[in-house]
Amino acid sequence: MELASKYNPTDVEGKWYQYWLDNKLFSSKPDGREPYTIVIPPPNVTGVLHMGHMLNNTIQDILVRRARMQGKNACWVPGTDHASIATEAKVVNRLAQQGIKKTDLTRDEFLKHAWDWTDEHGGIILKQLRRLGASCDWDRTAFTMDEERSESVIKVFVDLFNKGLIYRGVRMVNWDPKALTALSDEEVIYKEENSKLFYLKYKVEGDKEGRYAVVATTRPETIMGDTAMCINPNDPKNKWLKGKNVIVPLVGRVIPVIEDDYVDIEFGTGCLKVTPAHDVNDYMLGEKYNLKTIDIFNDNGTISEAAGLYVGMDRFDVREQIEKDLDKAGLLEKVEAYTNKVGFSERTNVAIEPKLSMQWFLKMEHLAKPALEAVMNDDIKFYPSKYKNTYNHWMENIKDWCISRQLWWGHRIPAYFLPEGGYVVAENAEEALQLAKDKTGNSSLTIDDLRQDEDCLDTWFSSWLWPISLFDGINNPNNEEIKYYYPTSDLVTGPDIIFFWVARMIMAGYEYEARCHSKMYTLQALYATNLDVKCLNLLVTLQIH
Amino acid sequence: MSKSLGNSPDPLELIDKYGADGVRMGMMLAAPAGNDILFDDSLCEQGRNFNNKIWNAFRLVKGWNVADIEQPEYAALATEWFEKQLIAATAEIEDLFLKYRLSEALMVVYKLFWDEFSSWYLEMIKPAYGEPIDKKTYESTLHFFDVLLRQLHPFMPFITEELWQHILDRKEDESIMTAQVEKYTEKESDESIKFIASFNKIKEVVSGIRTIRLQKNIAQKDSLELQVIAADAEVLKYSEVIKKLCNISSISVIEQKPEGASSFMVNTTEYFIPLGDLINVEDEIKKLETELKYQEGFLISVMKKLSNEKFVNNAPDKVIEMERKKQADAESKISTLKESIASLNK
Repeated sequence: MELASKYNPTDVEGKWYQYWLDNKLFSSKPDGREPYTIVIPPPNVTGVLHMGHMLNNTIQDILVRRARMQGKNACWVPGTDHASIATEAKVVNRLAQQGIKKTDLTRDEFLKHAWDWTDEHGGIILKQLRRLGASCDWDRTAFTMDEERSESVIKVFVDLFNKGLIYRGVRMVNWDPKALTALSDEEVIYKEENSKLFYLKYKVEGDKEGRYAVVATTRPETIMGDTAMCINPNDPKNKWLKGKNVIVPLVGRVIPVIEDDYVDIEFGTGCLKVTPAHDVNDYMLGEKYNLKTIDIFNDNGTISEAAGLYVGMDRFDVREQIEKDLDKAGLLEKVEAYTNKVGFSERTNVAIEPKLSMQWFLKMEHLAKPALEAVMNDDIKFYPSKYKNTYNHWMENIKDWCISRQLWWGHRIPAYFLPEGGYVVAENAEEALQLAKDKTGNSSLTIDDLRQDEDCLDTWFSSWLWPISLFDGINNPNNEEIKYYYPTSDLVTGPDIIFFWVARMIMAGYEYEARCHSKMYTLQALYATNLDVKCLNLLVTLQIH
Repeated sequence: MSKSLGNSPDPLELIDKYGADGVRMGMMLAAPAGNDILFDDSLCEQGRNFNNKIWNAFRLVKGWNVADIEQPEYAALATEWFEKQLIAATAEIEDLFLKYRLSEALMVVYKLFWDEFSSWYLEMIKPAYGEPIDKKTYESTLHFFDVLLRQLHPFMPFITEELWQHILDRKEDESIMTAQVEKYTEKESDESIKFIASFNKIKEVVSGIRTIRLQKNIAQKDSLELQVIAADAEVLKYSEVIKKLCNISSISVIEQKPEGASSFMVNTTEYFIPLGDLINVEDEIKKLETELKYQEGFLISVMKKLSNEKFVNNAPDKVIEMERKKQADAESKISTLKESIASLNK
């Protein structure tokens, strides 16, 4: 073989990649050697390679190749993520271009479109990784919605439900009015906004002097949902309102004045409007004082019939209109400029609407405990170690995880509703029917009588099982592969998903394997947040944060 | 799972342009663990250049004729030295990998290959044009190349496989991928640390001689003498390497500063190169005088600025500092030039 006088990568790269594949040099099977395992952070199935993937996968490949050359049995498992909300949004957009609305389609029709899209674009990114030289064991390629992984997800849901860790309830959730789904707290990004603080006049019912209470609010469009006004019992300036009723401006509804320490005396006038359907704190007051809740929003952020006024108008249009109307009616004392934090959907970038909604939740306290300990006592290490603090902070303040999404592209929740009310949770319809018969004592029930929950699970509810489900550890506990390859050795990922993914994987590890990545996570992948600007200067900043 | 934000450069286009190995190296150069990352296309270019360096070094070695001749002393010293360098670097790389400092590990291999192996080692052992290399040195060199390729493989899988397959006839399904990284059982000893330190002094002597050749415009083919006062025994031990690298005919220890010689210092030892008839004295004096004139003129213009009160009072500190530095530089150049001229006029 003669060497070319100049190095030409294209002559060399394809040839050797094929040679490695032909000789099965990436493939790994359990044997007597020490295992070295990496699972790929699965990219979106319909995604394309960007610089963040590039760096992330280069690092993984360096670690895997090095381990292989140290005599370890190196196994790098590739795969893709179904990315529920992101993929569904793309499919909805594509259908819209063809003049088709999601609501015109049945679930099955929509899913057919989604699978078509997935088949068309799916796996492109994995092919691109080959160009980079990634030495993944391609025979192991997995997808979070393939049969094995789906079965694992459903099994885990049923198991956690049976353990009493999953419950269903009406709770205040973060509602994305564009994607029309609930989101987890982690999917909400808070940004500072320049808004206005409106001072509204609530007339006191039956007051001979015609006095009124003034309420300061950033959201006058929600007054149609007011069911109380609250003052602080320790606030002398508002003592005169005690035991009175006030009248909601424009709406004319008479609501009681309640007292609670929760009210901040210093904010505004110290009078708080209580809208239990549309504010998390008001919701808690509502629970405490047994207040009515009036849901004045439709799912898409327009005003609902229940509001009585402005029905069908968009929430932001109403905010402008109601200011004028209040002013005209003499019920607006003043308006001030005000800076506050508003939550936005991570995926659709629209303002989140706190909304009461029936959702599925996973209790986190029990799961978080061993996962927090493992990091605090360095069973699991972060590189760089500064992320240990970030992790600690989040785990100590963890809330229950809202795991249901009002989406179709994902793992459908295995809950089946009964004709007489109530539901059963089972891995499939047949088992559900048996449970339903046992529960109701009605042996003439058929599968058609049961109605499966329409919602699907949060994407992270499948990816948190990834290192286990890749080795079929949920469906076949203690199989040869899971015993050999798990816990995995290193994980290379971005700090922006420590909570979404890393923390939850650690939890799943302790719940299902009684152990987790006893080694460490290398956090180094990055996301190009300010690429756009910097590219102009031919300089790119790939940032960690 | 990852988010694709903004319009980052297209990775596949970068691969087309710089090769996958070049882009991989570019990414790693940009990514010290856990810090903000500055990425620039030129990093991939640096990666590609490194590929070319490796390729050309390999072609150089493979182009030599090998003969069954005795190993020269300089080559024996060079191979002994490089092996010690390799052991030291391997330990450092191992340590950096354990700390997940992959970019730094790559920098160690990079410098090992580019500076120590390519610029120093290969120059030391390179046979004269048209001459063969002895078998022993050649085989050691191929072994070093093999070790280096294995160290580089995780970072640059493609080029390392291509060249590794060319070093020897490999079996049908053999690959560098499954070759093992060299494990040196020998720990870095005190003796080895001393050996490397002595070689570093030799490098400085070599640089000193090269600088004089450059300044005096003396071709490499014209051999020189090297004289030294209060010689460093450590350095003299490896004098064959200096002779080989710098085309030095003899190295002698002298008692007193010689006249008409260029000199340089390495630590506290002064070295001299008698120039004799290697340069045309008249031409040289002329050249130095022209340069002297220029430097003097330059100094005057700088001084004018610095004596201008308006300028000194209004210009930013940085600018003034720069002018003062210009002044100091010019003054030191003028004094060196005057000394050189005086010594030539004798």
